[in-house]
Amino acid sequence: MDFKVKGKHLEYLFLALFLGLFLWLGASNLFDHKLSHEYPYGYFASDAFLHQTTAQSIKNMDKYVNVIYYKAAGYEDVIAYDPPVSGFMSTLLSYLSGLEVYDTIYLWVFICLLFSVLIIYLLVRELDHHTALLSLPFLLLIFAYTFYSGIIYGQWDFYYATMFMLAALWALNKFEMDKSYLLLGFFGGMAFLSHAVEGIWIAGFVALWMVIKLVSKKFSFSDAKKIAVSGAIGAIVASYFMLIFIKVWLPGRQSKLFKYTTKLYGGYPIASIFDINWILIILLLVGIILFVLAIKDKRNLLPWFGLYILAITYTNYIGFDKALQTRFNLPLYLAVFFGIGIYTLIKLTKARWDSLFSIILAALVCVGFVSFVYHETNSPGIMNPYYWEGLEWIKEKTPEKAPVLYFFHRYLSSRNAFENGERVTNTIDLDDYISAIKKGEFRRHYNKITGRGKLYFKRTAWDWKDRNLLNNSEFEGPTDICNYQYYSFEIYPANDAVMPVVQYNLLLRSKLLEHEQVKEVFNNPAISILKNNNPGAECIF
Amino acid sequence: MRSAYFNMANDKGTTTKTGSGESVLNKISSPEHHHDLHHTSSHPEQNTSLSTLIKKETGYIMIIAAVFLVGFKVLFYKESVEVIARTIGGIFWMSIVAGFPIMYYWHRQLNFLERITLGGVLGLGLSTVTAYYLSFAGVGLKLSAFLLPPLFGVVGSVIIYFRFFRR
Repeated sequence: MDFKVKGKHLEYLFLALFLGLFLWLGASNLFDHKLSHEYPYGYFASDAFLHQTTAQSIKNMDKYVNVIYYKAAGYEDVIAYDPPVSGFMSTLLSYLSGLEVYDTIYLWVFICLLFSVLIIYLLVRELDHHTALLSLPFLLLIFAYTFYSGIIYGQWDFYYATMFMLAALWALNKFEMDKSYLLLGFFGGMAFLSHAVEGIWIAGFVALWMVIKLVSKKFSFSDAKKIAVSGAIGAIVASYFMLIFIKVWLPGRQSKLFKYTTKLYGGYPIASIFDINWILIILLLVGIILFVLAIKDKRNLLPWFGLYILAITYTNYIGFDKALQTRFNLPLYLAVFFGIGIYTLIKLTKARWDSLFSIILAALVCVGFVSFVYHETNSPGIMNPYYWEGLEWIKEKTPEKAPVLYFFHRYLSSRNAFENGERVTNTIDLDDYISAIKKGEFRRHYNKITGRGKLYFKRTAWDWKDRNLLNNSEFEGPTDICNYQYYSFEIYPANDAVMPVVQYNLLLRSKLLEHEQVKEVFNNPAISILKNNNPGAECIF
Repeated sequence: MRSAYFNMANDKGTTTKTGSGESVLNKISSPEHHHDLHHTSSHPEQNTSLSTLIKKETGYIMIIAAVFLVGFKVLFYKESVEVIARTIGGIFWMSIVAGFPIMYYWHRQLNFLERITLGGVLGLGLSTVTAYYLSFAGVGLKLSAFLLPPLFGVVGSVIIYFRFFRR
């Protein structure tokens, strides 16, 4: 057996092992080495619950035309506005696998990343297989530093879209291949449908590619026709969501355009390429410089795309705050430069080098990276079995439109988590609640916040209006707690920081229970749920 | 006399001729860019070659599924084999079953790894976007989950049949 054949075998074996390592570092620990969980596991921020409850609502409704009432302050005519791909993919897999939607939506994030890694590998491999192998370790950094927070804090649509965006890039790279433009259009449309931003990034790159080809007189009429067909396919695939994007998402963005921002909506950590080790930054720089100066064949689009995305990630300074989100995936786009840097330096030494050496070196770098990429995650995240049991009780035992008021819970800031109760979520306004605690008073009226997102409804076919702008006081402000039918309290002071608020919860709960019409209907060590059998009647004094 | 296609297909390793110690995986992963070969689409030797390729690659997909099964059992060792098998089956159903067959359209230009990767992404896209738009018409998602991926697999296979096998 000649070594070339053996090298190829080894390459595939190494690739398989690498993908295993990739999943182990990303998902295995995070999921506590299980695929099925008793409750949403490894969720660390409200956005994760936002996507999860949207996906669950899609499964509940069997479609996604309007937002389900409990996510829309009780309204049933609110136009469904979230990108649908993650919800539909997770619902389909839920039916096929028997897993809950809260498990499948998270699992897909990692499967999409696996596909993204493979596409990156295939693209780099067109340069040469040494560079491809040596690029692989850098991809592990997606689970390191602030980059990982994109996953655990729930920026999930973005990972689904990245897979389709990279597939579109791959198709563009194969533009000369028969009918590849059909794939380009489809993947581009899917990227937009998954998360509009990635659709826009790839459309911008295609436009740039066209301009460069036009200037260098390499863009034929036939190419123009292909791009036009491609664009038409993409527009058809994403058509309905494009309308939603224009009517619902764009109005809120325009005001931010061309305004300096260093914050990602929701207060997420800001990832930066400068988060990584300076030695790696130098290697990346070497890779970029060598690509620009030394690599003769510059037809491969991946390095150009890497530079393009790197530039985009700094457009937050002119108002594109979503550029900050794109930074979470920088290791994917820049890995090629890591490979170019190392392999070109090796070539400069004129040493005899073959596939086996590249595999060994890549494996060693992977092992080196594991030490700072590995997370021993012992936390289930925000949710726990007691909270989940309480939410499940509300979902199963209360009437559909029953008014429920959630007093202080430790996950109050992750408001979307309450939507697992599948009732309109009225939560206490924490600032007002703390003010009452400080004054040592019990009141009949507290400020509340009604959980809802955008509330666009159709006044006519083309006149869409957001109810948030019409009557915001309906959703935030003082509320008479005696009007509610159910009350949920956190009753276990898990740490000193929440002790006073939980104690206040317990006292307020006792006040309510002093009234004949209020009874406790559920409790566990963390949650107590009361039922008010005569809403409207005095319940405090 | 061997046809021009047969010679070129040999270069790609897409024929059944395998020398001792030669890797089929190695052969099929070295694509050449023979766009002109489409003109010989009805040649019987080509059909035989593609049939052989399909048979071999069906085997590879089985092996990959088995590797995934074992790999997932190692990574998610607290999970039952049944749940892992259903999950891997579901992922393959939505991605590979739906999207891989149509990728034979480019079997001369793309190697197996390229076709299964991009075919997988294509399958996910096709299954999802179709389920999304059909849901507006009242088609249930459970039905879509079970029927759409094989439907796309069949449509892809029919296209390949008419493109490469039909005289």
